[in-house]
Amino acid sequence: MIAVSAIRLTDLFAVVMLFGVYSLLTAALFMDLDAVDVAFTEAAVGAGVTTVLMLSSLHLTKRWEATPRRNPAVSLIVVGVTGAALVYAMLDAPLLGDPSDPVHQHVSPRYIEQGPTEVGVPNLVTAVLASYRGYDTFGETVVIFTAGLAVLLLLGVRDDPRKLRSGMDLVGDQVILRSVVKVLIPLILLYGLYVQFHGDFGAGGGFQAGVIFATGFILYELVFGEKVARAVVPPRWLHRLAAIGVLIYGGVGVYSMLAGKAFLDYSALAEDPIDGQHLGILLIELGVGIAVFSVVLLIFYAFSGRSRQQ
Amino acid sequence: MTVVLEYLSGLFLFAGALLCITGGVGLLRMPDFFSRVHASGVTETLATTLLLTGLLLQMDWSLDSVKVIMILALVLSIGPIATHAMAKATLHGGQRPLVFDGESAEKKAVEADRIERHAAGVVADDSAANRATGENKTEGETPSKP
Amino acid sequence: MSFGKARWNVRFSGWGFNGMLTFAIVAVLATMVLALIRNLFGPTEYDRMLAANSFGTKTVLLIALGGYALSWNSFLDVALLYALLNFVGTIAAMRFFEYGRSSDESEESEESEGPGEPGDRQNLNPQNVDPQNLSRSESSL
Repeated sequence: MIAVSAIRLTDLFAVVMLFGVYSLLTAALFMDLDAVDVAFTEAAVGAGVTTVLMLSSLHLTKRWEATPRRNPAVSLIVVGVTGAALVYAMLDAPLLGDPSDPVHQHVSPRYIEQGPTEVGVPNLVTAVLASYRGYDTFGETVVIFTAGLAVLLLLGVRDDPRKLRSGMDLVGDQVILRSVVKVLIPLILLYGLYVQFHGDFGAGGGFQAGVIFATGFILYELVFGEKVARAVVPPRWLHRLAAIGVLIYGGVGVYSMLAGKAFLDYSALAEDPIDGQHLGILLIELGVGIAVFSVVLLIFYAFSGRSRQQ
Repeated sequence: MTVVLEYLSGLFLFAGALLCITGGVGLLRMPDFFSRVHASGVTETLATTLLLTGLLLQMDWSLDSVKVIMILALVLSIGPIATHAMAKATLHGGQRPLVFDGESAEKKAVEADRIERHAAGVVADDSAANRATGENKTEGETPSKP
Repeated sequence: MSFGKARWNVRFSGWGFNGMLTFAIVAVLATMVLALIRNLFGPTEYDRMLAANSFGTKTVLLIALGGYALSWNSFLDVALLYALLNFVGTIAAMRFFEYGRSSDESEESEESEGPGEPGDRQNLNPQNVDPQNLSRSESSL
């Protein structure tokens, strides 16, 4: 119902609010399916960052949706055919949770039974994400980095100090808001650090922590204005930080290759393999967190730094 | 002791739930933005406190209860800030609260009546000779009105 | 939701007021639906902002209560996170809602951004209040 009304409304501001609501319901659904890490990431990204980014792009474009000039029947046919093809391809796949699924026969029991002994980390999701499937996570981090690169190439971050606006507008001159936000931002950053390092035991990990950390700085820029925020975290640092995050991740892999084992095999990092796993997971989560934080903040800088050109 | 805690937490949960629904109904039924902010902001803060305290009383004392206390402190400090900021932004954006002036309502009614009588009086002055044209005028006017 | 119901029974067996938690959760859900209706039908954008903020606060409650009832894993972390993000989203909506109009106007004297702005004055505020006079009177407060 929310999706239908989001499509039918032409007031894009209301649509952005509805998207926030929709992603929240999806996060609740994920939690009901016992996937807490995914719900965490969905809530962090969908409710916070996506809403903010969509609002900044609304700022750049028009607020009311223009009526489409072409006949929508063609696009409807294309979407329908593609959807039908996808559904047909999925008919052969086993049902969710089917015990005779090859994933549940061979791969999952190995992870579940031997995860705690081989990796030594209580949160199985982190163990799979960071250690068993570390190469996939490396690919995800590089994808995030590439997205940041694409935004930089397309939009660019304005670095001219004369053109930045200070925060004295209808949000920035509220005294109560500024005082409370000054106290709140360190707490948000502390919570981000907690999530980063708690990922081994509960829900958490690098992606969520990076997003929460970036949200703290986004709040700072929203309330205090661009001049101050860009003085605190200049965009050049963000360029370097994004690259450093990916480099840390890749560096761990290359180091283990230089030590004689396979790429991203953490047991090469210390004498005891379990300690090596712990150290390796710590380092790559750090790399992921730094990369996600800098890319999200960079995208926000790129969007919010532009005024409407007409 | 646990029976007392159970009943107490049940009471808190019940009261919090009722306040929550009241706030929601107020959000829908109030005529103006500022009254909606008041209805929703006040009730939702108190309802959150009652519901979270009820939840706290049902948990054993562990890290989870400390987290519930943290969530409570956060919502209590953030909620009024958000409603205050929203109300101030709305005021800055041009909305004005719906105001009921008790004493000058009569004046307004008298003023409106006077304007009506003046308009009717203008038409009635040239009535006798121009009644036909007046009727033609109204007939000609009504199809053009949307 | 039969799987959910099985877990539900685990928490609720043997209590005095075992319906209270369910009642609270249902009440919070009902309030969320009411806030959603206001979000859809709010005549001005400020109403929608208020409704979205309310929806977010009720969601924090829903995650906290529902997570306890259904024995979700680390549900309080998600609730805490969502309380923070709701606040940030509301502040972002307020900041971007005016589309930087007041800050662009203050920069007009310096940068002479030109006649680019009259287009959005029409479709923003249905009240047609003159913003210049308003900001001056607000600053005199």
